[in-house]
Amino acid sequence: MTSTVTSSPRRDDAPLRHPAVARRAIALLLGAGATTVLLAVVGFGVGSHPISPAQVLDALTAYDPTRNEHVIVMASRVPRMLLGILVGAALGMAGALMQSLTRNPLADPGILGVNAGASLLVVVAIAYLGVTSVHGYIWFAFAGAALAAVLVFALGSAHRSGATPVRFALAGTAVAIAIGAVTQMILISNETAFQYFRFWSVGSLQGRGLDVIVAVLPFLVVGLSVALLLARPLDSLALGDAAARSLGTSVGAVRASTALAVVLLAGGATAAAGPIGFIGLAAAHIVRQVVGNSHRWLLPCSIVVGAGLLVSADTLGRALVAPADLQSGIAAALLGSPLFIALVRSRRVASL
Amino acid sequence: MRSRLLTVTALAALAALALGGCSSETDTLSDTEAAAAAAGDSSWPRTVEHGAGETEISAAPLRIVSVSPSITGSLLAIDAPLVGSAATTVSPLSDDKGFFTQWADAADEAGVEVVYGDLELDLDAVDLFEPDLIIGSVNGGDATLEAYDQLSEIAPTVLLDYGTVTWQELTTELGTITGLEEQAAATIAEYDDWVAAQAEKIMLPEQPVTAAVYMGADGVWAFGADSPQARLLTALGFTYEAAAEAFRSEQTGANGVDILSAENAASGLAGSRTLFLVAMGGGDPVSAFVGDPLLVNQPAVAADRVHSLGTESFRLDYFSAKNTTQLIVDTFSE
Repeated sequence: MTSTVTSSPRRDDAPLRHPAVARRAIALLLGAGATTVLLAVVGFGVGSHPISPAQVLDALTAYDPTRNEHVIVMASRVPRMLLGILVGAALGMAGALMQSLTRNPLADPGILGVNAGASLLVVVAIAYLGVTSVHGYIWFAFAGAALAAVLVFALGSAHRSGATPVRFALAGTAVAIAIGAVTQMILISNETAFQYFRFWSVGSLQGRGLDVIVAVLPFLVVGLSVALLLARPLDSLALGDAAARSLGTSVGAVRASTALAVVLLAGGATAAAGPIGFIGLAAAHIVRQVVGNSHRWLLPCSIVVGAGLLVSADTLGRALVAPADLQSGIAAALLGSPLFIALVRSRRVASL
Repeated sequence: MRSRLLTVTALAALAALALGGCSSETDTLSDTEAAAAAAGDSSWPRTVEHGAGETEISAAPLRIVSVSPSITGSLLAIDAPLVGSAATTVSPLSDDKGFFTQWADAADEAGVEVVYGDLELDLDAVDLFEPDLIIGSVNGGDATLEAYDQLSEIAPTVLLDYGTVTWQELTTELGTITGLEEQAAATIAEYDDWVAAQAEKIMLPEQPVTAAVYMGADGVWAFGADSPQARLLTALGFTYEAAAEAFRSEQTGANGVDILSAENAASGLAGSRTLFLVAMGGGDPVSAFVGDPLLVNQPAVAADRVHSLGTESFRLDYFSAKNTTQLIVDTFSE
């Protein structure tokens, strides 16, 4: 638990090849991975309906569709766990990418207008097109997330001096506020839209079947792959635009690719589970504090820590409120924020 | 509780009136209420206890404004002199002005105008109608409790708790407030006779039954045995089964609603052989319900005995109760 990396002057290439960093990163990967798997399995038995470990085992090995407990495990908890891992991984990665892209340590899927854009098109779909199922929302949420991100990217790089992290952050905030206002206008005048949107907008992993996972999986896989390829260029970019160019990095192309990966990841995650806050923000910070700012370790670790955070929050949340059901977005905020505050207080937050 | 007490008191007063106004029957009533009940319409002023306090009404009201669309239907059912009503947000449950569909026609016939829309209280608009009595609610989306003092400056204001009483109790209460006790009693009696006649036409499906609102991934809101929806079904001859207690969440709504999480819905409703779904969001909630993989083992779902209770059954008043009954009769008529 030493803090040599985070308390030393920020980023240089040395820690990248430092064996201690690699050891810490591998320990983090293994630890977060094991926690995710453990809590995911424990989560099969935890929730609003009590199910014993023996029944869980039965459901997994000798599925009987006439037994409610078996149906709950297979139709509710398994898809919920898989979606939690996927969404958490995507949000963790998206958070890390956004923080690097905007050089803003508070960046998360909210800052590039992704959540706002997704919300707007979901509300439009409910209010004017009569779409009321999760499976119907997905594509609207995706399109909204992408449109907002493209708009933010265009606004952020419109000035002839080119894109800067501050411009992205400002454009994202402005677009998010403007889109949010339109969303509210539609909701206020439409009670039905409000009823359906209310559930989507707090973020939930419940009630999303395997088909939702199948629908967003390709986008998340492409997003994660693109992101992992960006590790080295993002390290150069962290040195500043001029230095990056002198190292042969195409600054514009890297920014555009990063933004694309963010849209695929945050858009896909938001489409599948609604806007879930905190995970994208916290996962990247936790990783930065353990392994530093090198993207070679930051990006893969953010995937695993993001998945671990969301699955842990969701499982603990369900255990706490049974026989009610706590929506994952609320669980992430309730259980994640104290952890995050503790981290911020105990160590120096990585500056970007 | 206070409004329920008032209702009970009002019912007792009516009973006393029916029995000949015997003074020994009215020990539990306040002097004013007893006098009002004993003397009928001529006993003004009268003091009404309600959800926001006590209000003196000096004479039989002639220009009533309702700032609660959920109460407007019950006022129309007793032919109260209603000149204006607040309107709700336009939805599948309302007409294009924001009047609930069940009483929108009755309101138009009676010349009732929209005071303000979207439930956005507009005190100036209320004032323009020059009401001599304002009736509103203390709970629900159309609650105006915070504006009670301002409303009282415009006209005597009575705020009622419609969330915990049946529409019959609410109607009786409104009869006492407006001096239309006889109309209220007649409306309820007419309804009871009509429902009894409708019950004859029904071939009951497999019993018992439960009424609920399907909330998708949010689970199911099952109406309790004391809910207006359960009472309506019971009056038609159905046997009502509330959700199993072990699977209910802590929260229960104002209308005696038991909340079941999505995972608990099938087990919580396992005792019910036929289900009725209130179409709160409009449309047909049945297909979404029977398509939920978590509900395949619920007996009514497995046997294809899930029926829509229509859009008007969420807020029951004289009009919507009749429409809902009609829908049930159409579904199960012999």
